Amino acid sequence: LEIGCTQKQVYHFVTTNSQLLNIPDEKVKEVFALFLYLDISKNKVMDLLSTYPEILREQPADLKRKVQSLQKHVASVENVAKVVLKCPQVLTLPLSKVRGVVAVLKDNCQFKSAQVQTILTTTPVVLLASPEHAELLFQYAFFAMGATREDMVRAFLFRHTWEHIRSRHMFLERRGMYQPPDKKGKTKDPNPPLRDILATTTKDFLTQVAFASYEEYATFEALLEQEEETDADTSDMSSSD
Amino acid sequence: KQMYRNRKPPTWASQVALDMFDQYYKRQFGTRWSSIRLALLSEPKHAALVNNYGHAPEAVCAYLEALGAVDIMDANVQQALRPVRRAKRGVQGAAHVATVQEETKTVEHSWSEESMYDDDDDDVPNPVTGEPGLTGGVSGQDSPVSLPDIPTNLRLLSMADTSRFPQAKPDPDGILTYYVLDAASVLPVLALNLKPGDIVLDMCAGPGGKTLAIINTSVSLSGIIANEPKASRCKRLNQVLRLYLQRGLSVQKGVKVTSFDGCRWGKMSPNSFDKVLVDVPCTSDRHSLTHDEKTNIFHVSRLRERTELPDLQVKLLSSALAAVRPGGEVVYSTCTMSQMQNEGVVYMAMEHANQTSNILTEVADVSNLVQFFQQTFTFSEGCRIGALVLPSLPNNWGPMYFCRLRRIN
Ligand SMILES: C[S@@+](CC[C@H](N)C(=O)[O-])C[C@H]1O[C@@H](n2cnc3c(N)ncnc32)[C@H](O)[C@@H]1O
Repeated sequence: LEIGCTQKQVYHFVTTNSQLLNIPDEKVKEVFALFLYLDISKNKVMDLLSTYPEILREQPADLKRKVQSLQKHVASVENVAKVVLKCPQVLTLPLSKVRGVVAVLKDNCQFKSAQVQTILTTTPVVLLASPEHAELLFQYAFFAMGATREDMVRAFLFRHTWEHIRSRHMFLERRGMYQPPDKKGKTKDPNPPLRDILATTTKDFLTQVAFASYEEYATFEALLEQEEETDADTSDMSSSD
Repeated sequence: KQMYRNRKPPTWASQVALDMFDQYYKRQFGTRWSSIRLALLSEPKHAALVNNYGHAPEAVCAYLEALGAVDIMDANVQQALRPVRRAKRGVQGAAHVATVQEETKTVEHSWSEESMYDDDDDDVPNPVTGEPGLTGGVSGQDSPVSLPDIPTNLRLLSMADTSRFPQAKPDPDGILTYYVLDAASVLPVLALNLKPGDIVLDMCAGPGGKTLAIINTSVSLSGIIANEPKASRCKRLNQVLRLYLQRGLSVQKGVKVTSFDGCRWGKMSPNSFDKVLVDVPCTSDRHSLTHDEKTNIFHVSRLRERTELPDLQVKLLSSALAAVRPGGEVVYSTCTMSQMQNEGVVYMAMEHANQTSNILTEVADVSNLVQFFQQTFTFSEGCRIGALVLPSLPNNWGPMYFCRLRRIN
């Protein structure tokens, strides 16, 4: 009540999250204060905490430090709020994890600071996976597809799974609609924009980019998965002898 | 860095092949080429030809069916594969277009323009099932339609999905239970229209897949000559026959293996066979795109051989036309989509046989096969004589061209 919620809200909140009763008032207050600092409305905070109660298990001081560190990476409080709203689990990650992913984006993938900011605010899920995973997606888009960093930011690259990226790309490449880049990352004719390839529904991808039937794509995905298994099998065999 | 690389990089020869196909087949197939290309570069579908001379072929069928396979030689299965009514259209928009466009049209056609088409329902492939358009001179009949009769005892099982067949195991008699092959390669054998008492020459028998199919039709032939000049392949042919036929059965069935240059059969034994199958060496589109550099016909060291292929093909087919008896039939087949090696060779050989040996031939109809297998194979619409199976997903069979010729005099 002290934090300005209506009785009803609190009642609802507490009954659906009875385990919260074990948490000291002081702590709850501090956590709420932190969210208010981010300018996130009380309703949203309660939604958020009931979906991700593990956030309340964190120490308020730690949460504060995490918010500060995020703020450093994404430049503004509003952006931190965006990140937290899109992907509240970020708050439960250890600081070193966030730092690790950001370091890979900056150093290994050589995204500019502004690009890293956009990536984090539009695609905070990148923080949940391992730094190696982020690097893998980057390398695939960069080397196999010849995409620029700008393309990747616009295509929300890190929102997609590696399987998704690969099957969309390979499908187009085998159809002769995506040219592999040469050593300098150049192609003779321009390829379709990365965003249209990755950040589209299957239907839009098929009707507007690949001009293929759904059945064709579904079969292709199944075959690609099998190829993967076979390749894995054969590499197992060769390593054993 | 291996981790983000897609599979193995193409070899030099397979890249040469792909570049040539991109040029040549895009012109031949227009926008349809993308779908064929995708299928060629993806894993082919396999079928299992059940060995009717094994211990218990019925049990083998049941076993394969339990794995999820269906017998595509079964008319009921083919009937069941037919869509009852054409599905509603308009859902997939351009998805239609990809399969609708005529092969000969060029890419310039804009998508939006094409997607406006409306009437002519009958020739339009079903976008939902990817059902191929009608083909090979068969006119657009709507289902339900009774299927033409394809008399044979062949049992050819195909998986309903993308799963593979396990390796065939020997039965209690030590005989292998089934032979895994491309289902489309039984089409030339079926086109032979085998009759009891026929004497058959399989002029380019290779490892013997089609020979085995001929034997498994269970038509009581008077004799089969399986001819393969290349020593290593001939060895494999003998081995296959041994693995699939009980001791003594080869003799009983009148199977003989020979090893002559096919071009000599016409002179060596003219007017001798009721049926001749000429499954010629060709540019093997699918194989040329795989990574096997050594056996790739597009390898630099084989340039000469490759450019001389059409010549050899004409010679082999002409030789077959001389070896078959008047009234008998020859089936010519390849596993390429190249018009030069397919229809081109057929025309030239007919001409050649007429000019040099006064042999008159006519092209015989194969539309019954095309009609029967319309749901299983995607047949090309741009084939004037014979029929051509185009690779496509999910029907990733072929390529396989076949044409039946009847000798008149
Ligand atoms: C397409 S393969 C045959 C495949 C075989 N029919 C099967 O279904 O397993 C063509 C074969 O023709 C053989 N060949 C090459 N030159 C030949 C010739 N001059 N006469 C006869 N056969 C020849 C090749 O050695 C090769 O095995």
